[in-house]
Amino acid sequence: MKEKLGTKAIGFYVIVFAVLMALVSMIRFLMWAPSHAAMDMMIVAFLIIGIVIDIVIMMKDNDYLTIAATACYSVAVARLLTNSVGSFVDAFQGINMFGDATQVNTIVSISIIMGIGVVSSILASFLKRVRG
Amino acid sequence: MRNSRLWSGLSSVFSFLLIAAILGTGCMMQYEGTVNGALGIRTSKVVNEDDVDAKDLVYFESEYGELNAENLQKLIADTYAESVQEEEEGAVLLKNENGALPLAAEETRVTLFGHAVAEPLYTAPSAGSRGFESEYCIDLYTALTNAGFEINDTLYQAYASSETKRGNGARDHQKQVDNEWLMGEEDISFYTDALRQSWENDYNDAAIVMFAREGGEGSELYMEDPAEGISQLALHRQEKDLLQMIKDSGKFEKVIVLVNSGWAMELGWLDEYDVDACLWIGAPGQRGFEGVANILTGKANPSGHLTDTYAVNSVSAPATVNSGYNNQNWTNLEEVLELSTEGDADVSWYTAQVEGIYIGYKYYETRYEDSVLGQGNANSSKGSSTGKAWNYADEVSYPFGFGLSYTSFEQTLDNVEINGDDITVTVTVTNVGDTAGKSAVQVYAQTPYGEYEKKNLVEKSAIGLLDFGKTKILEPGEAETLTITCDKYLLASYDYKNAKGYILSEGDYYIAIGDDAHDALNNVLAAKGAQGMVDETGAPKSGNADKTYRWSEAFDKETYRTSRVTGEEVTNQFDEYDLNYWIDDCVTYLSRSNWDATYPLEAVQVAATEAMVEALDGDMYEKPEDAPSVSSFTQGDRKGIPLAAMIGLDYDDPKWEEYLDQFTIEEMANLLPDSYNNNPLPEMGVPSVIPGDGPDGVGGTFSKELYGDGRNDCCFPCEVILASTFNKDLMRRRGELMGEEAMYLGMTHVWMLGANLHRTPFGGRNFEYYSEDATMSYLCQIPESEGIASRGVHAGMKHLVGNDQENNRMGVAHYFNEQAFRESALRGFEGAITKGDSKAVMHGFNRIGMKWCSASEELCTDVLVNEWGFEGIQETDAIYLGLPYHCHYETTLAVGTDFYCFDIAEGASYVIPKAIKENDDGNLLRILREATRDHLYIVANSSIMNGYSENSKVVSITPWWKIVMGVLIAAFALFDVTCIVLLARSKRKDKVKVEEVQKS
Repeated sequence: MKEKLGTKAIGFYVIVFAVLMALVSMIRFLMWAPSHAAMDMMIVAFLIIGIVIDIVIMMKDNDYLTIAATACYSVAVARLLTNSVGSFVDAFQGINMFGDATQVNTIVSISIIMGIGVVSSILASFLKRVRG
Repeated sequence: MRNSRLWSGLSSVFSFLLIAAILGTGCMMQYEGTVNGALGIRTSKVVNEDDVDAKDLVYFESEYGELNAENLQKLIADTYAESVQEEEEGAVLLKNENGALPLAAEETRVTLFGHAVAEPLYTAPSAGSRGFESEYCIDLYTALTNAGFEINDTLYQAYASSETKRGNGARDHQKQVDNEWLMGEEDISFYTDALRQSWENDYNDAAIVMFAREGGEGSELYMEDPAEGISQLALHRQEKDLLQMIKDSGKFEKVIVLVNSGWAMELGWLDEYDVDACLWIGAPGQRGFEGVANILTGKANPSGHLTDTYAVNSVSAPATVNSGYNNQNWTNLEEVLELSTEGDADVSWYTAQVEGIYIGYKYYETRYEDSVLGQGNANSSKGSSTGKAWNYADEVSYPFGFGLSYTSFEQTLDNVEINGDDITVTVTVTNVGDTAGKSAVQVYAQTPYGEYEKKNLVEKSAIGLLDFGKTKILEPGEAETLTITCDKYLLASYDYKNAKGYILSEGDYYIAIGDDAHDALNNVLAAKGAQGMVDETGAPKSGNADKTYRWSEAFDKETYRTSRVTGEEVTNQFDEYDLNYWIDDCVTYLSRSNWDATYPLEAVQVAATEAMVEALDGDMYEKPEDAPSVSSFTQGDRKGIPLAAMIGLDYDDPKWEEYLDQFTIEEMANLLPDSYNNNPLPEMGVPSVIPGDGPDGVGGTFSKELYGDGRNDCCFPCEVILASTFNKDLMRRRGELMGEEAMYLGMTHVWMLGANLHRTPFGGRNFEYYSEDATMSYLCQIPESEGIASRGVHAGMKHLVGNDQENNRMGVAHYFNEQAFRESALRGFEGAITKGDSKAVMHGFNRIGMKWCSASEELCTDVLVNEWGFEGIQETDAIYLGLPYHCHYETTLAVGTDFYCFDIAEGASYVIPKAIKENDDGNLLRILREATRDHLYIVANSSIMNGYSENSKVVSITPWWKIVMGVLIAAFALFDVTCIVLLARSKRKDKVKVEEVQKS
């Protein structure tokens, strides 16, 4: 294991971080969404696909797959935000009609974690992931 | 960095941007109307031939002339001046011991108390103008400073920098989630010694204390709040501590309380804390605080009167037992949810209007008369706040219609003449005080409550507002005679048991004037020779029979048997909306025949039967057997008739059929969803249609590009303040000014007026509905609606009907008997439609009986169209959430609904054509044509058609953001693909290099 890790460059660890972010955001999303009528399986699916792709990259590095993983995480965060427009509108207007203004903080916090995952994934695409 | 990593990195960046742009654009397209509205984009324009003079094509004129920058400034100035005047005339002086107000010229150094002074309630969360958030908003501090006051800045700044916030506890009823609810008042520990020093030797000419109460859309006020488990309208611990601190300090010459609330606060504590003066100021909007300052200085003399009863204990109203937070679930809820095909929350809750007609003063004053006359077991302890025998003074702090002035008036009832439907009341008002001011004349009536009424459960309020008027400013000693023509129709009672129609009862009728409803009733009681009357403080009152007029009527069930508008028979439509229809005698309605036996002590609890669950399922439309074929209609036959050709034509003009023949089914269906900024149909000459939304501001920002000023439209004082002016000229003027603003904003119609009732003092949107009294709403709507309509803008009443609470508003089933419904909830909407030229109504979210308002044929067609002669557009409330009960498009269209508010998914556009075509349903097609006509009839007859002739061309405008987003998507896609190609090339080169190295 130590030997294997010894072959990895900084980009590898950034990908690990991206996977962690994706996992955390997925857990938080799954804990929150079902009880707030916000469940979207597409978000979960794209996060899972992104994580799987990153795991594959960890085992066998591939530049195209880093792009695919970024795209998956991007879809997840963009869907969460666009799905939640009604809540943002309500928060802005101070009413509860189109969404759930009370959940804006949670939505933003999950989106930030997802967003960190996206940025990490992009960063990893620029970085060397394997030594040599 | 190796090239391949550069390209893969850039590909990732562009992939992210591409996805964000695509999904973002999709979202913006879904909310296209809202986005266009927010960006001030119109999606059509008119193009005329060169020789056309636009001035010849003006169908509705602005009173300011051409729409331009200079005239907009005049309009804005007038809206601000109107706001100030409304506040001056609508704020109600409730207490003024020893002439504490107005403050003397030298009483200028004051301390403002209460967190609300730093966080005023301009309006409560809802639709309408955001002008209160702009630089053109004036708060209490600024208004007082401008009026010459010097304010204790030490304390004010402490409030301003405090982290304390008011939270309205908005509740998401679909998800059953609560927002944070906070009273927003400072704890007594906030007032440190340093702060207390600030008023020790200065700024103590007066303590001006402001308390706020806030509900809003989706935010019912609490009957038992999370802070102390007491009514949100009661005085809370922190407020008591504050008042006690001020009292104990002994430093202030005067203590003045401002009640900054659109809800009737409980004010029985004013004497306890030595409050010298109390002024209810409502929610003053963006400029109303200037009016408040003018009242405090005496520049304005208050002349407002309450449009609600201010109860000592708000939960003493019988309506509270079943409404709001006392809504009930079916006792067999699980079974109901299992059987129902609707969403769980849509069918879970119900409320029974057990109080019948006895809402607000109609309860308190009627019980008072019966207690004075010793009838109906009125003195029973049931419903008493003290647990002892019911006593008026224990229950009411300030009656409906109450309001003090800085001067005194004498009103004499000169004459009453009854001629057909007109009751002409002549009243002379004399200013007998020493300050100039206006006086409101309140005309009330009492109708007989005899054996017939008792036997047939026809309930009667002991006193009912009939009409009102207001004098000009009367100088001391000056008099004015007002002639007020009242409508006799408002004296009729709906007999749902026997006559099944409106009746005029047999017996003695009284017209009475009075300073308020209670005073008028005491005058009636005096005319009856009664003894033992009291005022709201419990002090003996003798009443004044000279302020009454008595006459007799024979029993009459014919005069109002038919609609005065359409000639249609007015008879029972709502038998099935009464819970007793479904479950025998499960509801005992409150009756003055026996208060003790009928006063509700607990909410009605019943199990829904299978038949009820079936009726709750709202998919009711079935194609009639005799429905014509779709082929019997002509559709898509382009004849080149533009909408401009329909301007001024009657609603039922045959040319409409010809015009509608031009549309395809899909084109008509595409008009059904309302996105609040609807796309044009150039081929039919239909421009883009934008509504406004209120009620206290039409909601929009003026075009800086066109008119040089991009500020918000005016946020006027709340609707309760307007009603409290008792001044129809001001109501009409507000309507006219809002109509003018809507012209500048290009709006066809505006979703105002708010005509629901203050069924209880806790209704979340009471601030934007006129009153607890349906007759007050009826009377206020007429001038305001006429004013809006005079500018070619349609006043849209909302929310038809029974939407008197925010709690569980999505689908709560509201049950009632037909007398209560017609004389309260429905009456609130009737005036604007039958007399005020209103051509638009928005339905409520709630159910009436088993049916969603938008799915009730009895409401939307039998009453609205057939009885009231409504010609125009009926719209659902927002169905954005796509709840199951919102999505029965065929049913709702069939009963008369024309327009689906925020149908973002455009379900109506999809479902209706499919149903018509798949079922060859010519009946539904005919109804779709009617809906299209209803919609376009109000567009054709609105001021947005100014500038259009039959030769005009409507040209679509693609919003700039669509072009920008399209370009961005294309650019990101191009860059992304390019980077991926370059990545592939780079990797090929790398591979070749590796191979070459390996070979060598």
